Amino acid sequence: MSTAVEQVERLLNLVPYLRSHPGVTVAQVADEFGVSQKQIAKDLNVLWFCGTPGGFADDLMEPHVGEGGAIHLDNVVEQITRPLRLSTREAVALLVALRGLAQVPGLTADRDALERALGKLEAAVGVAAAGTAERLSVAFEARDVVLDVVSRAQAEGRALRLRYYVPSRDEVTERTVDPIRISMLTGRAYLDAWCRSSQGRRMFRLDRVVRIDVLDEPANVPENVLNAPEAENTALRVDSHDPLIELELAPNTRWVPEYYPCESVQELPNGGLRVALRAPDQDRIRRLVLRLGENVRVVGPTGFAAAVQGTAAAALAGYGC
Amino acid sequence: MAASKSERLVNLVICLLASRTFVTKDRLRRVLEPYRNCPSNEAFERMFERDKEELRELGIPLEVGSADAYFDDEVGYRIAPGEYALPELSLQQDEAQALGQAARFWQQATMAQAASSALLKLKAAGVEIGPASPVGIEPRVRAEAPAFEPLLEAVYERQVVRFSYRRGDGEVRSREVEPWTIDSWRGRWYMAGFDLGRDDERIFRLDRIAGPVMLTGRAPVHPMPDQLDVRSRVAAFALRPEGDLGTATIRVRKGTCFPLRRSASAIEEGDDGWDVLVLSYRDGVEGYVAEFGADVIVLEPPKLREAVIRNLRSLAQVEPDGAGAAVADQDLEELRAEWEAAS
Repeated sequence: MSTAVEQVERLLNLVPYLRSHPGVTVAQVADEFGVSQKQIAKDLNVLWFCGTPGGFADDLMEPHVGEGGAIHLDNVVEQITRPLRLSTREAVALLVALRGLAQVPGLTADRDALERALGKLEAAVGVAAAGTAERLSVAFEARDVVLDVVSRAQAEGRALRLRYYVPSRDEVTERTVDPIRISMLTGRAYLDAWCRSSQGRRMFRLDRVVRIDVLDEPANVPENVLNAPEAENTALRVDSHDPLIELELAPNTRWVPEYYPCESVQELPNGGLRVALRAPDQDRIRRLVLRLGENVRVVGPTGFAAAVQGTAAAALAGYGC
Repeated sequence: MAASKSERLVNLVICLLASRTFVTKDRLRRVLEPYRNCPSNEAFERMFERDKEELRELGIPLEVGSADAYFDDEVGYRIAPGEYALPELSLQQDEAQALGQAARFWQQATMAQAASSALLKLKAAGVEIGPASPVGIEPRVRAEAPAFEPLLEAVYERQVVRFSYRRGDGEVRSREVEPWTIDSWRGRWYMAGFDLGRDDERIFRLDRIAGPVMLTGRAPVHPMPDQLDVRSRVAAFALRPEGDLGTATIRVRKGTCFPLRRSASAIEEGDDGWDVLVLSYRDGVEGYVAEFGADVIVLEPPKLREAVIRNLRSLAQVEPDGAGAAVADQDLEELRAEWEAAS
């Protein structure tokens, strides 16, 4: 889209926005529209020359900017006081999301509101857009007992006692947590919670919860944690200081980068892949390598290759080999 | 320059919205100053053609019709207010909140952008969305497969697509498909459609599409079956269970191998520091067992025991020369530098 077309799109939205938000500041508008304050000032200057045809000064709009950048739009042209209807792409993005949210397992309180919103939006966007939206869908993990318990604890504002499996240590840990929210990432459910035992915000994968109990005591998430930016990907986040591990995968294990975030994936002549992954704990990758067995070759680093070799040799001893 | 063009387009929209009847080009030229100032008829024609194109690009429903009840050839333009404006939604507070949540749903760039520009229109219409609740369930959806975006475009534009597809067994072939639906099941994306080469309905995993997806410009000709039927077939494909082959007996060290214990059908506690588990066994399970290294020993069946030993041997083997590792360390440095540059 050209700059002018983008500006027209914004202007046709800006006029109704300013009318429904009298006194809103240039800074607030810039933030909401995702452009600079300078751009909003330019947009307002254009509005001075827009109005019903006739060319008399009285017919043009008057965007006044007052103290503190507060905008008052006078002489609003009646014809453009409603925003343009949603495009098919815009309608589809919201409709598919609403439908996806409405079937999230464990989400009971808001389902009714989601469905009402869906109905109203469908009626507003028209048949064609609603029809296209039917062609897309998002479904999450199946209904789950753990998820039910977590939602109940959340609804009642209570803390939880967890027995949680840590795969890198092959160990079940016990902790008391204060639930913040449930996140669905790449189709998996995580509990985002304040962990009292480790005094930190943690993400727990629900399928690794061994046992869960709702406690009588109320949940108590420290205020500063709640207001901090969300820890959305802590479970998946890697650090640039973590060592980079390189593997060569046989063609039948090409699924690895689909499940493990890889920093680079290269095709090999034999149809396999050469991947580089970085993980906060090497144990997780060592387990992956043991699982892949003869279908993987550790390229480096040498320390990691030695660790794999050692584990494999120790395991072979159990078979008398 | 850009500002005067924006000004002209906005005024054109207002003018066409304000008129009940179709407005002729001549009249537009008389009424709108920039058109009036065109040095020649040709210059005006060119400018007006471009302007019409840009209004359509914005999704503004520009209608063309006869401007005169008696003379059909007198063509005019208008924008019907009912077609232009976002209809009144009259949302309750919790419904508005639900829309806010829907707008945060997508982590895929194109969808996220479409959702937030939709939300901005609703806000402009006076809908109060309110801040996100700090607690509750917030599902997020990503679509990392590069095929997602062009396939989405093909669904919007109703076009046949062409791409290379790698099957589970490694075979790579070019496919021509009329896309029907794009669905995500538990974090993975699938496309159902009519495969023109196979002359039949097929389901594809987006992450197995290799290379670019080309839009052919051709419209699909095979009617799509009922949406619900297509979706249930995709679900069956996505969630199909893997068949059991029998049972395996394994020894596991006490206090370890939790996931194996959880899927065991029987556990016999031993007093030598080890327990014995009975598990259902299917092909490929050797990997899940081998993952636990020296904490697990397979007893039965021999096929599984041999597979685990073979895999461990391959990993325990020492590289004949250190060359591979040395080269790798060098690559590692490069990759690290690349990563640092990107972040």
